Amino acid sequence: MDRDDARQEVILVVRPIPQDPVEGLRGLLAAVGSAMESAAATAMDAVVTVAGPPTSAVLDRVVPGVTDAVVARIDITGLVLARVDLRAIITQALDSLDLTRIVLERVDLRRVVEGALDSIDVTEIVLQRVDLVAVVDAVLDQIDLTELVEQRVDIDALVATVDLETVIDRLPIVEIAEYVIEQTDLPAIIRQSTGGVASDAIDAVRLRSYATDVATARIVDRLLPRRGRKLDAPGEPESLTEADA
Amino acid sequence: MTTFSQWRHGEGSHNAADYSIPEDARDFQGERAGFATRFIASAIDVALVALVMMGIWLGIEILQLIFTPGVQVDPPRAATLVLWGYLLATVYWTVAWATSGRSLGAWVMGVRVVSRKGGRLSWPVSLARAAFSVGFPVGLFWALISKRNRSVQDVVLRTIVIYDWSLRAPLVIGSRRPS
Repeated sequence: MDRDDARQEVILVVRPIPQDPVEGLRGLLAAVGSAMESAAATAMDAVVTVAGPPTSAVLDRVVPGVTDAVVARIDITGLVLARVDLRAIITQALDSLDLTRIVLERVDLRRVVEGALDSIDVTEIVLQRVDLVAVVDAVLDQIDLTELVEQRVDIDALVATVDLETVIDRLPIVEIAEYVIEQTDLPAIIRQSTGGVASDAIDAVRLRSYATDVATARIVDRLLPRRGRKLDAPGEPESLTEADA
Repeated sequence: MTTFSQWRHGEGSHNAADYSIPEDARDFQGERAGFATRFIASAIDVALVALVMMGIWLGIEILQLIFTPGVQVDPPRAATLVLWGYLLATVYWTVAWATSGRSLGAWVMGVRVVSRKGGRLSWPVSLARAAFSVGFPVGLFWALISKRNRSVQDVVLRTIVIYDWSLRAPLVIGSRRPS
């Protein structure tokens, strides 16, 4: 608004005073009040119009300086710590923020992780801080290791790398052979398949002869006043062959 | 069926010497042999010696017929044959008992002659026993009465005759089992 535009004219209108003096005074007062009101409003408008811009400029200059001076004289940190419920503010802030999304959007996680890994010895930390036995036990409890090995390990390839000769050297081969021979009664099979008739005849003769020995001895023992015979001998058949070995 | 571990820890039989022997005969292996078996074994040996002597006699006769035909051949006297038979039997038994412990008859009947400690007979003992057996065959009959199935020869020379059907025979001549 222009300063000239703010000027307003006050026109006094003269009219004949009514005959009633009271009525006339009232009218005069009302007219004066109205005129003063109008003048005050006009003055105020004029002041605002004229003094407004210079006041803002003054404030622009004064306020920062005053504020700096005030702030310099106040321990804001202490004030905040003393007066502000930081926990409530932070909790509320965290509740209202999707921190994960913000981090994922704003943070270069790869760089952060790589930087962290470059600066620390993870192996040493794990060895010092982690109960590896407990971890391994827990993992082993949760997985079926046999099934895992069956699915993931090429056992044939693994066995192919084994030095079987070393394993065989540790095996009691002779005992195994004797066990197999005994369990399958291999001599009996051989006897039946080779020269069966002759060896069977000899075995039959020997068995019959042994039975005759026993019977004869029993008859003689009955005739003589004694009980049985002592037939155990110091030498066993195998002791003879052992002596040759 | 016995597993290998059970078998290895002594459950089930664990005797390699038994393998070649029929199951029925395993229990009495190593026992002192009785009269009947030993008598038959000796009889087989005597028959074998007699056969060999007959063969020798026949051979001599045939050779004489071939090389001196028409000449009257005097048959050898029985006493001479018996004497040579005794000699042959003595040598045969000496060698048999001092080496494997069994003659052909003993092998057929599944018996073996061993020393009182179970080892092979020494050559002198073997020779003495052979000579004693040839000279006094009746001594075998003492095995009928003896509580330990011993013949007179066994009593005098402290030898033992055992059942031994095993196929493996110790054939190292002259070696004796350490006492």
